[in-house]
Amino acid sequence: MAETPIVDVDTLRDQVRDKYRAVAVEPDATYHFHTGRPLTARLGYEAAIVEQLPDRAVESFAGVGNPFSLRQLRPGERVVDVGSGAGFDSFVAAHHVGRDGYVVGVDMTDEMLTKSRATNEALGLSHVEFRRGLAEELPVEDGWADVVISNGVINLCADKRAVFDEIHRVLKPGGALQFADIANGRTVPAEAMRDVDLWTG
Amino acid sequence: MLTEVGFVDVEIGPPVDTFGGATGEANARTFEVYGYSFLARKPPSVRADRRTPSPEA
Repeated sequence: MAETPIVDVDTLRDQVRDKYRAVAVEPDATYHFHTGRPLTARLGYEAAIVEQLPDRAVESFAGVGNPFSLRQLRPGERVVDVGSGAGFDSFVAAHHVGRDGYVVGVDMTDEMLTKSRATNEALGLSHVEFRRGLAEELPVEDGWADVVISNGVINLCADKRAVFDEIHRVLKPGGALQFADIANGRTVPAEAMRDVDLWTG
Repeated sequence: MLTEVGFVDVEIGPPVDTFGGATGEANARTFEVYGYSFLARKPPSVRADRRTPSPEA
């Protein structure tokens, strides 16, 4: 059952799309969050894996944590990356699952998809694919995934219950959801919660 | 919410100072916003749970 969003879903989605369109095209601009290789080090990603990736795979990374820190992916696993952006976490996942596994990145921002697909083609990874879609309507069949990953995306979705329901749908029985996201220790005033601008900035 | 949806074995990692030094740090500090890693599982199927033990078991 979906929850009742406290902000307009479409308005929030448009603002998120605008923000991350900019991160895709201008990764070196100043944002309210960290990006790129310095952020991967801050979040504890394995340097040996990150160093192998080209700049275009890492420069637009804007995650908030490390979805691989509580559980390592295993060779052969099928992975869905919800809100894959320019593909950084998908490429890290591809390294772990190997060519016996498969990674599907899903993103709603065309500029991010263009970038991730071009990088994937340059890397020649036949076991990675990027699809256009929403976190609330994943373009993945029921029970396909061994693992769903996500990084800093669910907090930007107005209807989180719908997102988790959808992730539950695409996971196999026994499958793992491993994601990183932000949480606040102090209650955010209701007025601020209704301010869409504060969700993305 | 994860358990309401049907996930089990939920784990939460330690907080990470995701916004420290970024321009959004002030808002993050105000509301004590940190990054966390989460791990949860979709339960095995009912059929698997109720598998009949082998005679040797």
